[in-house]
Amino acid sequence: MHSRYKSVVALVKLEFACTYRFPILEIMCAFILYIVYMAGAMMSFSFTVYIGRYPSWNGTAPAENLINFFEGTSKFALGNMLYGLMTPLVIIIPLLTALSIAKCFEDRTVHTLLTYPVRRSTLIGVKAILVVIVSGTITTVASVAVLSLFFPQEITANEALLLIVAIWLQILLLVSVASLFSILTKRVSVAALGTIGFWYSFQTLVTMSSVQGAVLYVMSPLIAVATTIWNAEVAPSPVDLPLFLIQSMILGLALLVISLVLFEKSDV
Amino acid sequence: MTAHVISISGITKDFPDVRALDNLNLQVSPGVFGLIGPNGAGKTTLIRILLGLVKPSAGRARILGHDVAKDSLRLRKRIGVLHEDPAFPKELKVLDYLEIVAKIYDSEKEPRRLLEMVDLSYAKNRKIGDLSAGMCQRLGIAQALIGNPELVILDEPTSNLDVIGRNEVLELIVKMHRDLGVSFFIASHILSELERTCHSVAFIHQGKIIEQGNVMDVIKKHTEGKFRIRTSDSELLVSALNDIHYLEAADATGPTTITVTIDPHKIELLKAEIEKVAKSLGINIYGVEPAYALEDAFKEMLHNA
Repeated sequence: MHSRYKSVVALVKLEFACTYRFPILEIMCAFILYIVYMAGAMMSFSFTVYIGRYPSWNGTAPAENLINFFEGTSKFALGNMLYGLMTPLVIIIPLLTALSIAKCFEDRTVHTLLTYPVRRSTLIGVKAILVVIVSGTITTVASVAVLSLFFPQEITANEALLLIVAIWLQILLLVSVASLFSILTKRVSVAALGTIGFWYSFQTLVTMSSVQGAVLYVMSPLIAVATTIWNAEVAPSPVDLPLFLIQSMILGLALLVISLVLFEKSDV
Repeated sequence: MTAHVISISGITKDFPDVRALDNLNLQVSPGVFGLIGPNGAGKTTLIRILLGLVKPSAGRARILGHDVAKDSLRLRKRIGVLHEDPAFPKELKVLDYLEIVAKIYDSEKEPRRLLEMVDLSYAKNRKIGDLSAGMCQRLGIAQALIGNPELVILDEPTSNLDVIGRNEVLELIVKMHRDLGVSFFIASHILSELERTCHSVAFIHQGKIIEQGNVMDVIKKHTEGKFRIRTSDSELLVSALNDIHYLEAADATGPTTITVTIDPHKIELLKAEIEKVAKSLGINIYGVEPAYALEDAFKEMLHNA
């Protein structure tokens, strides 16, 4: 194996031993699965309350309603679940990225690692890409599981594919912003809280402004896809949606490249 | 083979409020080299520049023929480094960490043998976070040697160690140089250790090299005619010694030590004189000895700087 790939594999191993050690990865999996499941199952709870308050005594109605829920739950529940996915991502991804990148500045292991024959960009790139891959895989598995459990009839294969693309792009954007914060601040708490704060402030400001559509959809591809699948009143047109997704990808990659260049040029 | 393992010309480093290095020039030949300086003299900044962690404001440096700014990656394959107060991933086990570092270097060196060499085999399955400072230092030396380096840069390698640990590390350095031909660049302020270990030294003060050369030459140059008097009250004795006309200089270098400069032929005469003066002042004299150590040379240089 080429020595460069060997060193990348070694860095991945190091990263898994340090950042994704027990119980960080397990808690992350549990949290994402729990939130996605709960968001998807919300309609189930509503349904239970409904039959409790207004029981139907014609014998088969509760069972029919239950079957209806699983076979043809409204798009509203689906949209609700997709929106619900944003919350764990906006909290977990900045935390994980800060734990991976900012922590090595905080505990000075970056000094040791940079004395080894590894490019600075490789070191940070491996960390950032691993966050994308790990959290992307967990979220995809959780989402697909919940979709097939609760909404088997409500989502087409194309929509599911679109959703998975949006999840990965959303994670890429969050990781890029958190990487930038981590390299600039070099503090875990400041980088994590800074990214979470930035994200919510940004969304609030954009929602209040007149240009909300395009900017919001580029920065939040998950919301763009969710509103499309949900058939919401305000949703990007089918023509615009792929453009927004491409712009999201370009923005995410550009922010990541800026982080790497910044790290290459700065004193450690 | 490169004539100099390290060649530094005109390196300057300005921080917002201080100039850490000031047009520093230094040539280091293969062997064990010591960079000596008080805290804040610029030793660590110089090492960080050599490793490419910090960019100099001006000047350039080459290690093993590689420009540290332009060819840092290839350079790092050929050197090993131990930082002052080194930080390693605390969650990893000692052996696991060394195996990962060996893979990063693509090194054939067996981590278990390196652990034996630094006497850390018994702790191979311990987490790094559970190691003592001395054990961490030995792990640091092991990881610095794992890539078969031609040059090892050590920043205060014995700062966290007790006397026995220090001796072990110094012996290891000498052994590595003797058996494997590895050159060492050691930055430290513990002069007695450098005197025992290094072939040549340089003194850094306020970001400048104020002296450089072979250890014995440097000591000889700065301690010729110097003697150290150990007494119970240096201040009182030094004021009395000022009246002795053949004494070239007398300075209280500590609460119980005085360093005098005198023609070596007149030292017996001085000893007799000191005994008399001490008796009249009611103070004790514990000994008079040649001030022939790196520490004495360093003090003399700092005094003159």
